Amino acid sequence: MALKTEFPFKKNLVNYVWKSVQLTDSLLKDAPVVDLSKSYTVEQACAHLSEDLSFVEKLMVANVSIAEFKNFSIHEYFNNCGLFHDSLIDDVASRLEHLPDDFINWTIKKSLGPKDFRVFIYENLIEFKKTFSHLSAINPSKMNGLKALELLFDLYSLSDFSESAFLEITSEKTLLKTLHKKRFPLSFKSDESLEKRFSQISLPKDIKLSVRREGDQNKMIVTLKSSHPKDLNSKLLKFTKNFSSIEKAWSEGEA
Amino acid sequence: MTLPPKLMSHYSEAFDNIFIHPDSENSPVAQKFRSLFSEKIRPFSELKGQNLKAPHHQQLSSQEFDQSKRDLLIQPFKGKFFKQCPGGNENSACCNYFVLNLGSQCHFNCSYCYLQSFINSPYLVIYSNIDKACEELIAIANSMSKHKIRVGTGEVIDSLGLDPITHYSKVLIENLKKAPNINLELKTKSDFVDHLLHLRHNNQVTVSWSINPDQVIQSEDHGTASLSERIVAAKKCKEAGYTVGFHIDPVIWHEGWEKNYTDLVDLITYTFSPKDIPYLSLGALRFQPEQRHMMKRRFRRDSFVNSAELFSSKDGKLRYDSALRSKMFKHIIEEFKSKDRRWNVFLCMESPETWLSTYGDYPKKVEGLDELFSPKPKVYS
Repeated sequence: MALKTEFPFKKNLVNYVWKSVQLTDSLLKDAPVVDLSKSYTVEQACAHLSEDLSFVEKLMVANVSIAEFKNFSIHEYFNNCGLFHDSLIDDVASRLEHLPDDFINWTIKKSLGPKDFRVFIYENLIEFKKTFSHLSAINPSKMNGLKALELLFDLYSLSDFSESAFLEITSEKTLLKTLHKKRFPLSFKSDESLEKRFSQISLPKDIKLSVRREGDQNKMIVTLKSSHPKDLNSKLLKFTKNFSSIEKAWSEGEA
Repeated sequence: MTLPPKLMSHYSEAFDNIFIHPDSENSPVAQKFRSLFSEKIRPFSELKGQNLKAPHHQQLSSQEFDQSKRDLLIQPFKGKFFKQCPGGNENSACCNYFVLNLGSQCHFNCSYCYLQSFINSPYLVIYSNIDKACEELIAIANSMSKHKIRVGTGEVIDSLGLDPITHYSKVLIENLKKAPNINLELKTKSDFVDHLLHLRHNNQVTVSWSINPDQVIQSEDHGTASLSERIVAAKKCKEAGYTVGFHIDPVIWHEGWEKNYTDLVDLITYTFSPKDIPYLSLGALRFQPEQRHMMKRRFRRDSFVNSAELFSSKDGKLRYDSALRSKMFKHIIEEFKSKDRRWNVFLCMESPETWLSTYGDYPKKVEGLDELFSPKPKVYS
């Protein structure tokens, strides 16, 4: 398993070692060997070499170090990395061991931090290996991927959605829209219904009325195309004549 | 000190350990806990070397939060007890409320409780220096003698949850004689009122309940009194001459919500008159987004709250869609008004837009609520 077999440190110009344990490979043949144990504790040395690593890679360093070094202190290592070693980190580490490599690679590529993993910790993750692999194949942005996972775990636990249904989603473009629609069915239905009522209002050409959800509110978006101030004036006048229809369409949703 | 067996068993089950700060050793409240639960008292030295707050001010984990409800710490409070309610800001209308915190954390366990994103102490804390709180209360009353001031003790701890032991409400009520412009609100989800019934309160005390249909209480308000127990307790207080208040907060959407909230209004209006209850408040489910993870770990994932359709609102909290909130508020307000136009119902921590879509106007212009929402001087800058 990628999480704990070898140090994930980047190659260097020298071979860094800690006493007899090799920490890094070198980019050069016959590179000099530098023993960090002469100047640093093992936790300091590992933290120093971890500077550019993601949080998950740091977890790997901690896991490998425990196996390689007697009395290695994870607490001190994370402290040297500027992270507080708490139960959340231990929880994440134990859960990651059960996740597929392709997903772990996605978390590394997207630089997920400790708090990003809060979404993972209330599930029996082993059950959802296919979900993780499929998500990493879609390769969403960090924000979209985390949102998608939270929605998926909600849906799975509400029994509203199956893993096989998720496997049918193949693009990042449709990922969140599909999951939102499932997770927020009442709001989605109400938004769609308002959009439909707006579409039935006969507005002048070049004026479009649409609906956009902004957080807890639905906002009316009025798009008006005009070629001249006089034209604009005339279109606005025509538009205002439709106010009562717009108000009616809007308030039907509130009733 | 003795407690009725039912209460004794309630508290025995609620707490694992009780710690007493050396500065609080001789306080009356420490003596009461010591006499009732001597077997749960742990040496304060067991706390030494530990941070009283979570490390690096991190949020407590769900297990730590659970345990923080079960480990009680009695200590003096060093800061100012009296604060302006944080409800009023640019995104929500303020009803001029002041809070007096006599402790923090709560041994009840409501799924939506905002303390889940607020508390970072691993203990349920009771402040032992109630005398200092009373001094502050009187000083504030005197400094604002031309204004009527509403003060509540139920912001970060249930006002009456531990009151059968601490008797803090009794101490405050006795001090109200020196603060005649103050109306003290004791807000609770318990039915622990028997020790208040014989007190001379001089019409300066409102005992209020957060209330919801029983379906919601059973699903979300763990360890609290049932709806009927709360109503019976409120009735006792009314008969003892107290003003009674109800906060239908948080209003929670669920299948059949319209009927269940109608039934709740029926029960309130059948048992009480608008004269007994000057104001009722309504607030819809809301909480800081970061606490959702803890809620999902600590409570059923398919509960009304965890399965709710919530969106980010202007103030950053998660809330129902604004149109749904208005719809629920309108329904409840209309139910009250259909019984008697004199019922005064106001919205708690709601945006001006929601006031507008629910009432058709801003709070200061709604008849019966204008006085409540007119600005009062700031206590502390």
